[in-house]
Amino acid sequence: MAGRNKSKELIKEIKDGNEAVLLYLFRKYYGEMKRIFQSYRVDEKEIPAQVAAMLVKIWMEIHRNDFSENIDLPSYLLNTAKENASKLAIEKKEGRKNKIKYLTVDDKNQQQIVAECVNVLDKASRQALQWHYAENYTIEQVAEKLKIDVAGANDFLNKAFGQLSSIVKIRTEYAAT
Amino acid sequence: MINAQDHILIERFVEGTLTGSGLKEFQKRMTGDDSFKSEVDFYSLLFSGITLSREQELAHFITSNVSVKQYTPRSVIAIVIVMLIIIASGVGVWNYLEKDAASGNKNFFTFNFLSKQQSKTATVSAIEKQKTEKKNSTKENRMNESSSDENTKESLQAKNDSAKEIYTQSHTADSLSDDENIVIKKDEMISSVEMAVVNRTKEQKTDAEKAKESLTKEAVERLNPGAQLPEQESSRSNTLQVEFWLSPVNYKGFKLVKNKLVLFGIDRPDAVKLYSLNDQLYMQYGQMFSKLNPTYDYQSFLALKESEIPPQLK
Repeated sequence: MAGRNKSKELIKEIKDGNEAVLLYLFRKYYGEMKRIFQSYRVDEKEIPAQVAAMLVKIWMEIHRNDFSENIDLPSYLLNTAKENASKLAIEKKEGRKNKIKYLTVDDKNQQQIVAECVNVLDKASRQALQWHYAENYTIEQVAEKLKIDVAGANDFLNKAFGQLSSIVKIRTEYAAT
Repeated sequence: MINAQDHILIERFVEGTLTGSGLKEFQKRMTGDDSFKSEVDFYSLLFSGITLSREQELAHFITSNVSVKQYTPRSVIAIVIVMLIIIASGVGVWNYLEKDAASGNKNFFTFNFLSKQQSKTATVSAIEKQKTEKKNSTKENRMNESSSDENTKESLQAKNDSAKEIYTQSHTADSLSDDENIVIKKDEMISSVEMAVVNRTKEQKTDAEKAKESLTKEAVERLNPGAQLPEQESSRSNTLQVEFWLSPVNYKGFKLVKNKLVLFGIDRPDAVKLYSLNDQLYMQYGQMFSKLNPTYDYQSFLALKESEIPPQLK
């Protein structure tokens, strides 16, 4: 019961955007998740990044309301770790079989290019876009976070989105030429 | 060109919140208008790119704020070295606290379990050597017992020292060779008796002293006849607890602590007589007389020369 309540508290904190929860979860469950990854023979150096990626995935799921509050967070974490580890192991096996790699000239995919373009933006614009489009915060919530009115927040978001789209267009055109 | 209304529609479509007639109309527009379709695809790409950037940011936040220990071969070696140091110091402390360490044999870093194999061969040769030395020392003992020349004291001392040394060596050698077919001999107590000490001092008193003593006694009785005061006690106790021991290396010596006398190398206990003269204890064993001084350590018998023997003891 206490564990379930703790889970609810953690989910609430994540919904409020408290990033310290990620650190808490990492420190608390890293040992167990590391053992799971080790059992699937995942490289020792890759494990921290894998665990971090998993926690971020759960963070995003909670923000998109894909995650029920009644689910026990620790057991969900460990199950996800198992799934990810087995997936990694399969990928590794297939990678060994297909030794011939088909390398493309520009190996970065389109999403990655856009992500890099987002990082070019100023902090406020980047955060506003991420809150609204990645974490599904409403315009009102974004306004509250930016400490401006709703109309101002809407304008600010539209302006940031326009900036990003123009940067991405330039970048993709440059890459194509 | 996408207006604000279209922007919201595309956003809802990408999120998956656009439903019903709105969704149908949107899909119809997408199939009929290629430029609109490409705009929708571009928006979709932007949304996923923003999500990816947020995910990367959070992942970086975690990995940069939490340090994870990676066990490299160098760190493993360092840990092993530290463990070995701890074990070695632990063995040192253990040996220091052992009983033997108190007597001065402070062998801090002796790994007996490791040296056992090596010492086996050395033990056999050492024991053979000790046996021959033992024989030689026994011969010397016999010779020394029979003679009463000038070198008696020195030879006895040397003999007993060598015997002690051999005993110690054989003792350690015996303890090291547990699984060898070697009989471990130990000190053996033959008997323990309470022996009277003949006081020859009394007999030495002159007539004047005897008269003085009786006068004192008489005076005390007259002053207080009912008190029945005890007679003057002798300065030394008249009996001694004497233990006769047999050493496997034929060690001969004694130890006198308080009222207990330990004798080594006495074959015939009934031939031992103890005398007290002027607060000095003497032992007669056959024809041999020797002085016994109180001592906590074992001392060899120092046979008195004929001229040194007090006439009262003869």
